[in-house]
Amino acid sequence: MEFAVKFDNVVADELQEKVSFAVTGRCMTAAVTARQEENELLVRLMLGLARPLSGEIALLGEDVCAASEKALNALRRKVAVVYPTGGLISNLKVWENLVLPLEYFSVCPQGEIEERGMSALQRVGYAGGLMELPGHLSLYARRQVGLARAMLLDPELVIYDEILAGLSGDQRDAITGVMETFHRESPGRSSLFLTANKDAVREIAVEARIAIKGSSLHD
Amino acid sequence: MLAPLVEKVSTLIDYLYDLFEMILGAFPNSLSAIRQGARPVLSVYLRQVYFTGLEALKIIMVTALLIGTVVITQIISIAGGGSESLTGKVIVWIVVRELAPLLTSMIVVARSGTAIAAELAQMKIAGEIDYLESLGIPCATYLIMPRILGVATAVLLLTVYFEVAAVLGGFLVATLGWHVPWEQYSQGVFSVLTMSELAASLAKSALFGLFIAAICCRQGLSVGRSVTQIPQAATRAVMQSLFLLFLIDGVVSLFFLL
Repeated sequence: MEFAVKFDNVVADELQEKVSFAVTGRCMTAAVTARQEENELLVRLMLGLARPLSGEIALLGEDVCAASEKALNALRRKVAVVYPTGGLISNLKVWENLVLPLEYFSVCPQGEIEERGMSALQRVGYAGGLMELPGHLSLYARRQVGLARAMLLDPELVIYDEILAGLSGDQRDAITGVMETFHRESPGRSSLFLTANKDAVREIAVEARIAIKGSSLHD
Repeated sequence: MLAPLVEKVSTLIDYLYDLFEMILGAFPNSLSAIRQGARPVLSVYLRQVYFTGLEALKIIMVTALLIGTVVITQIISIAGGGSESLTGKVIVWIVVRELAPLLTSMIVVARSGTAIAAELAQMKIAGEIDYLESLGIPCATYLIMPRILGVATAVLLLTVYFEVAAVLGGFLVATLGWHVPWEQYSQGVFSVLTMSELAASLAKSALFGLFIAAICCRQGLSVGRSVTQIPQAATRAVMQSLFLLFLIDGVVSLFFLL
């Protein structure tokens, strides 16, 4: 797989211009976007949650625009997204949010799910309650749980959407350390950091930097 | 003059078709969820039964007792003394056939229908539907199917409780107020309480439950990005559910009459 993500002349409703870029596979890439709102749309387009007006999108070598809903669901299971808010479901408790995909897809026995869940929370340094609702958590804690859930999925591609925005220096360092270690654990894993803030990219030891501005691609 | 009417009827048919599709889609989804052993889906279903069924039990029982009292009082005031077996018959005709499924469903619409529509609308606006889909978890299987089946189960069970409470409540009032003996009252009740009466009542309540949940889910998920759309979705869900309740009630009653 040459590219983890590839956009080719993509036109969508809320994109200002045609967008073309490529994220090399097995690589840690930072992509700087024009606006924060654009990140959300790009993630939606990558996962097939929104359809482009024209252009082609490939995710992990598969054509997202041509894929059926079933194929898209299978493809989405290979990708983990850490959203700026953590991506947690508000009516589920922290633990339920964490193990939701593992329990839904019954990937392993209950005992193993508990073991893996606790281990992932420890790795990200989560110190809050397991039975808390996400609304009661700080932004940092929500992102920690979101990151722990992404780690549990053992994905081929991890997309971090503005993961460092709004955090203190110590919190940024802690999250960055976990992300970098997690990326190195699996040689086939690709990581993509989406941010509208150029300075945020400097804190992460990425192997490639791209700017997503219109249809131009800057390496 | 006829064109707008035809358009409205055609829109209604399209809408009903969408709801049918949503409800029918829930059953294969439930089978695939069971096959997968999806505990979270079962958890959503049980929570829905708990919130819609168990939490509404108290209000349903109180309403049923009051309805039983009102119906018995009216029958005796119209028919006068010596109408002991008639009281039992009329309470079955009125409560079991009509009021129990209808009033139970109306209470469920007011309590749970609004809650479902508002909860799903809030989830949609907060992007949580996308969060689920991005995990590869289809919204139809995780959010819609357990809610539809959960509400239908709850309405069915609540209707049975309503009927029992109304019949017993009616007897309590009849015996305390007019010294109606249990033998004569029960004779009246059981002479008209046939299997087809019960089947019609339960079929109605199951249909009501399925459609209430489908309408509320549909309205909840139809919002855009503004939080002001949440109360609008809840209001639409209630109004459309009530309209459809009366429509289904009429159709099912006609079906069983014919």
